[in-house]
Amino acid sequence: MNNILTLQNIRKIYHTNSGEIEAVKDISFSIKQGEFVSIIGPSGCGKSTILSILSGLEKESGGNIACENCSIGYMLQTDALFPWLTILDNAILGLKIKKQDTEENVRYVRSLLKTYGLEDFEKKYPNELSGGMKQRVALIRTLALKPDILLLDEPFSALDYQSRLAVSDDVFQIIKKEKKTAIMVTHDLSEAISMSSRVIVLSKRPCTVKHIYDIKLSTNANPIENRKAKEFASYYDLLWKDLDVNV
Amino acid sequence: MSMSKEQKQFIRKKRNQKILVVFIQLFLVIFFLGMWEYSANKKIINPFIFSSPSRILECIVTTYQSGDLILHIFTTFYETILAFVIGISLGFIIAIILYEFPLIAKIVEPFLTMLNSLPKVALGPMIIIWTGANTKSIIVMALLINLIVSILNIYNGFLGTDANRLKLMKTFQTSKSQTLFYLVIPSSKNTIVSSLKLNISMTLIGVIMGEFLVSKKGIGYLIIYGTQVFNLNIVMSGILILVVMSFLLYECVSLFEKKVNHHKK
Repeated sequence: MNNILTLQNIRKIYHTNSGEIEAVKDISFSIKQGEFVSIIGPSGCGKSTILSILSGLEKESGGNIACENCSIGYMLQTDALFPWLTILDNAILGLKIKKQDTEENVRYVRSLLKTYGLEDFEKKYPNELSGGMKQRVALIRTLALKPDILLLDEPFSALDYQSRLAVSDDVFQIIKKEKKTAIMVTHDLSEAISMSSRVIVLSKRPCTVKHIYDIKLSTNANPIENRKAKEFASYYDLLWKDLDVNV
Repeated sequence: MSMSKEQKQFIRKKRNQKILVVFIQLFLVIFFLGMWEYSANKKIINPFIFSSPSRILECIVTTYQSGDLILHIFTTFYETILAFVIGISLGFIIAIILYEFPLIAKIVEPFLTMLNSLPKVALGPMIIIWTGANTKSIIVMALLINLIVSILNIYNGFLGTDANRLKLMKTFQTSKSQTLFYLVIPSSKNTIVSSLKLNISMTLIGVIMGEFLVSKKGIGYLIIYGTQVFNLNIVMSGILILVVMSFLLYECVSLFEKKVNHHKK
């Protein structure tokens, strides 16, 4: 399959009062259509910076991004729903802002809400929903714009452990069902192994790509099932050693 | 649904407490007024200086019958509403400008802080010379007092916009005005509405201050006039009307606040 996105020698330098900070030194990788790729790395290594660059929130200082069909959706660490808008209005926020809230597109969003069990909550407000449901609304809000690539920036870090397992399962299934390509930044190794087909390990800041691992689990199922695969522990061990965490 | 015995007891206890509070409040008012009236009639306190509830009531009735009372109340009310509306609108617009142009905000910040801490009353005599002894100077006086606070309050509300939601808007590539109208203003609604409450009290202070300095009508004038002719009945009547007025204005804004916030808890 074709590469949908290719990064070549991406570099990012921040300017501060105390001098220049090199956050990203040299990052190159490519993503194929329909892949789920995770990026892991030590805290503060510049993982999120890469997503910010990909989504156009920040400009790279050097390098090349080639994207064949570049419509990118971004899912943040928190659901960032607007408490004064109903669930439906939250879900179509992006469409409204981009003035694409045509009848057809709104119908599409409502069908997503229906498919993912939020139909009865369309007219409710975010404070009436559980954390997991809110995260699902946030994903639908991103999907509403029909992006080709989804960027997930530690999308479950605001949830407690049990919701986290359930929601990651949820989100994974939605992404697979809608046949989206996804890049997820996480610091949770199990999450990375159980969800992705490839894991990119970054070095400490300024970050470079250390290794890229293909993840092949015998279970090949949803994330919760995948955690039971017999290869899981060895992948975990491999990634942990590669991260080289010193406390 | 039937209530359990404990639940009923709990509800009753809460209600009894509420009744007790209202009862004691009423008692305190009646006791205070009664003592006041009694000591004034028995000359325990000098009614010429301290007035008395009956004298105040009488004074209000005569002023009302002469037709002046409505004029005074209306004047102060009109000036307060005018200054309130101008103050809030200007404050809102200036806060938007400061938010949208951080460079301007940085430049004017020390001046705003300085103006904010200055006792604005000190500028009163100067304002009279500049704008003349008329309604205009009263409005300016009130604006001096309410405007800076409004600007700072609303601006700080804008600055408190959730960073994650701002980032979300950026991922949608919104324009500045879209971010403002879709996110920043709605999310600052609570701050803006609560600044209305502060503003209405500030405005009334400003208007009365202004009326003290210049004016031929209004509650502030009534109080000053009463002092000059040494008729404490008039002064106390003015204060009483002012208390009622500020309470009603504040309640109106509170009611508005509740209405605006009702769907959000």
